[in-house]
Amino acid sequence: MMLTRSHARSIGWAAILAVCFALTVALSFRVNAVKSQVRLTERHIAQIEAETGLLETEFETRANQQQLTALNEVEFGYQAPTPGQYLESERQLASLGKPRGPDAPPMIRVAANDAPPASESVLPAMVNPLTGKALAAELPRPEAKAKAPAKAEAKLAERAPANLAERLARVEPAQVEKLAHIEKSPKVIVKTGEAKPAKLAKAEAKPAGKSAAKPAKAEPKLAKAEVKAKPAKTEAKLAKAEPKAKPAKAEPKVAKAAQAKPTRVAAKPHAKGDRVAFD
Amino acid sequence: MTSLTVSTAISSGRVQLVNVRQRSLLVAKLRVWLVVGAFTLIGVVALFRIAWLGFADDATDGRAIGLPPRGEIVDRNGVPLARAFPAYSLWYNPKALGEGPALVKSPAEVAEALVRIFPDADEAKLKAQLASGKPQYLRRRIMPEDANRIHLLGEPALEFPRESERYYPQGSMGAHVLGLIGADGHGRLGMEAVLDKQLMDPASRGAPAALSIDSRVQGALEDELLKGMHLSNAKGAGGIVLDVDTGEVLALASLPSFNPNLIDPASVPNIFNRVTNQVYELGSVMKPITVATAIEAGVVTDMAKRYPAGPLQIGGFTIHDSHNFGASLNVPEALIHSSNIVTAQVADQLGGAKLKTTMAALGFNRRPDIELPAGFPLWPRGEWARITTMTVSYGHGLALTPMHLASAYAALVNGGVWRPATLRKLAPEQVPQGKRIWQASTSARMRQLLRMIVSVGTGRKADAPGYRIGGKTGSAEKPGAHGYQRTNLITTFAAAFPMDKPRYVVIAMMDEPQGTVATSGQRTAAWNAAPVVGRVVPRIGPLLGIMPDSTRDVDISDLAPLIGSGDGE
Repeated sequence: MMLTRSHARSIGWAAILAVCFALTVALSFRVNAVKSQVRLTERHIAQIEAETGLLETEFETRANQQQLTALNEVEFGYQAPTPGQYLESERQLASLGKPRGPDAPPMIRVAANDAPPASESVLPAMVNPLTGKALAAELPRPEAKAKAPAKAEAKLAERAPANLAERLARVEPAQVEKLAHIEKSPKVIVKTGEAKPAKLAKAEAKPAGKSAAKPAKAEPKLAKAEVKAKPAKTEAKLAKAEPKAKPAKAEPKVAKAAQAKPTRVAAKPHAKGDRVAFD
Repeated sequence: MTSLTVSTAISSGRVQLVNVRQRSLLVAKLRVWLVVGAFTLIGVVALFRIAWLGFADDATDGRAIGLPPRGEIVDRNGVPLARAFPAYSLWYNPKALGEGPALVKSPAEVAEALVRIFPDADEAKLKAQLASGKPQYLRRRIMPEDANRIHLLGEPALEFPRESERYYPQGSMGAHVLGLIGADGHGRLGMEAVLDKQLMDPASRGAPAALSIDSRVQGALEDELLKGMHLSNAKGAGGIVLDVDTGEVLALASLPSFNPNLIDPASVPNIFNRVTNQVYELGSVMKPITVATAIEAGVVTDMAKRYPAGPLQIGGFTIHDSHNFGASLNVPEALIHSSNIVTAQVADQLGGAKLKTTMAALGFNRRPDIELPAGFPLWPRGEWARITTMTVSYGHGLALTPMHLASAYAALVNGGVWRPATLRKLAPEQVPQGKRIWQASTSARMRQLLRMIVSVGTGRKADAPGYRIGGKTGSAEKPGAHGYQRTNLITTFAAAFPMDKPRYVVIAMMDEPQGTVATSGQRTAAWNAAPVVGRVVPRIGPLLGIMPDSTRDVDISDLAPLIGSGDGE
């Protein structure tokens, strides 16, 4: 059969038509597929929203006002704030940062009062009821004197937390005292940071260590001195102790101990004499 | 045409074979055409279907899927107060095992096992339901662990479909405001009933309906009222926190409350709302309203003017005070000591008509303006007699809901503009204009007087340091079968804070408080309602942006010298 020109053209048109039709079908197929995908996704979103709503509801139920009140009564005991907890203006805030006047009352000092490192002598030092001094302080023990500082340092290093979780899990009561301090006296926000806490710890230990054997016992003594309100003496003692501590013997331990002993940082500037943030 | 060929070919025996062959061919051809036709038909239908799916816009779009069956209710900060919750329910389907007995065990055994899971269920009723063989709900809203325990019974007829239920995450908190819904899914009480149309309408239920309630304030108010109620052994308590500038109700509590998640017979009486449904003679809390009206009318111009304070004889009726305050009192002293005698004299000079006009303007002659169903006041009709004017002036002979009082106090302290109370959250442009009842100067004077009542008068127990609370105590004897009962009181403390720029009115009310050790044996408002306000305000103030400040207060230096040192003079 001869293929005339018109035949070929009409076949060509038919072929194009067929291809177009096939493409249209394919396209509508595709559109439909995407549409159903969208619908499925929407259904999925709705499902997840319902799930979120359910979890939200559970949370709201567990944390409803009555539960929170009951929890507060049993666990926390938070009270409504009092006027003393609010500052009226920037002026009032600034007034807290005034430099210390000549007739200002003596500053309240807070010593780091860590629990003694757990050693073989876990019992607290016995205190002589007559002199008010620790028993160990009255009876010098030469061999302990030599051993103790090194041991204490080892303990300090051991107490340095390995990771953040361990650090956060630790209770540092002296931190709280530091905050209380801020309310009472403006001169307490100190330059923290590079301060050498490990050395300071040693410095605190040294002056008392002349007579007492262990730093653990020396610290309570320091605290006692403050209770008795003899700041000048303590200051002098500590100032004297400072240069002794300077030699970088314990350098490798500094980094670790720096994390461990944030409280000592607070104590240090008072001892050295009023290096405060507001000046 | 082919059938003709077949018929002629059959006649000759010679073409028999050809005929057979032809016939077979024909059948085969027919079958092919049939198959082709069927395939074409299927193809065309399929193409049409594809084209239809491809081009037609699907009506079932996904937005309808996420729409809750009933709209959420949230508080003013968006905390959900009522929402849909897919809970399990226990459905009995006797056809689960096909024909034959519905249950594996006997109905009695299954009922006994169910009672072990739900100790409050009625065993006889369950047994009857199981024995009846009709599909029905055995229980609505069961816990997932209970569903697991039912599953372990091994009864296929006990099904637990998940159904969307109305759930109130805050439990009984704000129950009187929220109300509840019936088994048909429509609101029965409270805002559920008021907003029913909006919550059910598919067009509007997608967005949560915001109430004016602040759940933190509501929680604090209910907590303190409950404590006060227990300390004073009261039968019930009510409280309102109202925004003085907009009329929005931030908290509305009526105790004892009920849990809208679980309505049992014991909680049904508690559904009654003391704050809006019941009217009370509120007593002395009305005195500031009388005094403000007298100041406004020019009857009280001199705060130092003294009125005799002896018992007042009016046509066979004697007006007394709680105790003797001396020979005379001025107006500030009369408010501080809550003297009925002096207030009655002031009202007498003011005249019944003016007092009635003001009180009517405050809405005391109609139901309170609040969305909830509310009680109708006992309002003395006609022209007020002299004695009526006098008793109304100190809060007797006129019974109101605490809601009326809250709106009136808002007008008293906010500069004199009364606005209707509402439980809907209002946008700034929606706040009603209100109507002026008192001049701003009168309101300023009243703020001083109310503050003095709290700082030196009967409301001292409410004086939370730094919050500049002002308010008035009211202790009214409840009317009984034989006149007023001396021991059954309604005690109210109506307060506003901070008095130098009032923002919120706080009302605390105790129903029949008793004298206990905690209240030093007293049963008046100063010992039970006032301390509640004194404890609520420090809890809610900072949440509402009012910080305690001991350096500010309303200036009362012009009134302070007028106060005698003792219990009056």
